[in-house]
Amino acid sequence: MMNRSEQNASNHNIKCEQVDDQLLAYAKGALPSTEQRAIANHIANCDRCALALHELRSLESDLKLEASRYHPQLSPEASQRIQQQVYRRMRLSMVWQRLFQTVRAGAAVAGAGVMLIIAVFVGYQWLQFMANPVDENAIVAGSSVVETEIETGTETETETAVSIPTPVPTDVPVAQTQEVETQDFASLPILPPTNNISNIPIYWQDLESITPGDMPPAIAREVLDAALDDDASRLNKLLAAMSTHREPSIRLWQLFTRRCQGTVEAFDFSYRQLPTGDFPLTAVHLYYQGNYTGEIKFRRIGDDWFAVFSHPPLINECLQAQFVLPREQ
Amino acid sequence: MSQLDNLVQRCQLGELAAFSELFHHVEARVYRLAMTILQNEQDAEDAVQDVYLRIFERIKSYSGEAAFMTWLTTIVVNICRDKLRRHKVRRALSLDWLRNRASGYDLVEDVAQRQQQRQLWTLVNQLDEKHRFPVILHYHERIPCDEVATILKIRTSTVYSRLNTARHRLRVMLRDQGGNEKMTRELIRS
Repeated sequence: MMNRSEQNASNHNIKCEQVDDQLLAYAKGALPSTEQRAIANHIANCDRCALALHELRSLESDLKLEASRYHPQLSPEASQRIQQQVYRRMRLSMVWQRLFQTVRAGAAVAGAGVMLIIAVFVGYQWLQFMANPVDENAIVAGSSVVETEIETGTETETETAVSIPTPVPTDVPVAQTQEVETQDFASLPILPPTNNISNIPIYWQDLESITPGDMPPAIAREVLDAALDDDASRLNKLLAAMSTHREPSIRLWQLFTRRCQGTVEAFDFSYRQLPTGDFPLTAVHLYYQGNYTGEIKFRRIGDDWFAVFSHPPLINECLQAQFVLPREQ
Repeated sequence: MSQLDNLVQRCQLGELAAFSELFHHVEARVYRLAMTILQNEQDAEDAVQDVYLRIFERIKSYSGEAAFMTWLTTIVVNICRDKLRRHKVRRALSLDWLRNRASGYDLVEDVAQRQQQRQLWTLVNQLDEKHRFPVILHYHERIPCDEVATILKIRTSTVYSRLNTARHRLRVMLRDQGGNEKMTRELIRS
């Protein structure tokens, strides 16, 4: 049963429910004038709606008051770090734009012949990059894998269906006579330092390791970390042993960054090192949520490991688990 | 021409130094909005970086039809929304991020303190995205409803409707909290 004020209000052909629906728009004067007047008349005669309007205004006032006290500050260090990273990418983008404009201008002048030469040159460089730079024996690596996980931090998730074939891990030379059983990494024999300089390519001979003595999985994690930070300078140093192939490799890692930054962490991956044979080479396979996504190969020089070839994590919707690949053993 | 318009124009001409000034000019606002939406410093810092890059990529397409701050706010909202929708906000703070903080950082204390100071907004953060975003833009950022509509790409009438619905839900939440609205106002004003 309506009280007298509600009775009066309803006589103006507008109900409380209608007023309630339009209350906010009314409070802001956003309704057509006839509707504003009708609601105003209703509120003047309806205690319930008048109270609702009063509560609305109080709530708005309180929200604004609370908000006015909120002043989060970006720290100067964070601000500087963000700007540095942004400027690096801006400069890179501008370089590419200018290169593209130059190429386009060149093509307009010289015609298709120049484009063909450039395409052949770029294609050759790409093939050079994709080819394994290390002179390897064609021996398939042992199927057993030494587990050396670092901070996996992943959660167990159900697998998604797979439809896209992806590259399998490339070969790492392992002496045929050596049988490697799955065992604790620490108990594997440590190879003696390589003192024979003549065996080491010239561009490696003066290298200083950025992470001296660190094991390949630790370096692999550093590489992912640097990539996700989009820190080209660190990437440059970590992938120092890749000589002429360094630049395309770094570009690939930075492409991975663009897709994955802010969505994955280096510790979301697990890192598995393959056994090292007589020849001081090994590979670290990168796994994300149990799926293989890429690898970094290492060569040992003296006591230090250097990255010699890398296949950054495959970029597909930033590792949306769309691959069918060997599961973690 | 205002200082901001001048900066925007210089950026559109490709002047790198102008970008530096522009980022400095908008940083506080971008960060505050990102923090309000994402509720997480790490994610907010990432969002600020993404916003700067998006500004750089798209500044030439800014036609001046809408105010620059409206255009910028749209970018911030879209980037934050993407982060929320991908459900890839960091589940744990990275060690490096924590290392970069000043020593003595206490996460639990930090969160508790923030929640105490923003009781109403803590409730707002429990609203779904559809209703939370208009509340944030209108009441937190003091953006008029017609601009909120432009930013969210909805009709102005829809903005009013969602704000109205948010109002109802906040009332229910306040009641459920066990305190009456008068007591809540006293807490806020103290």
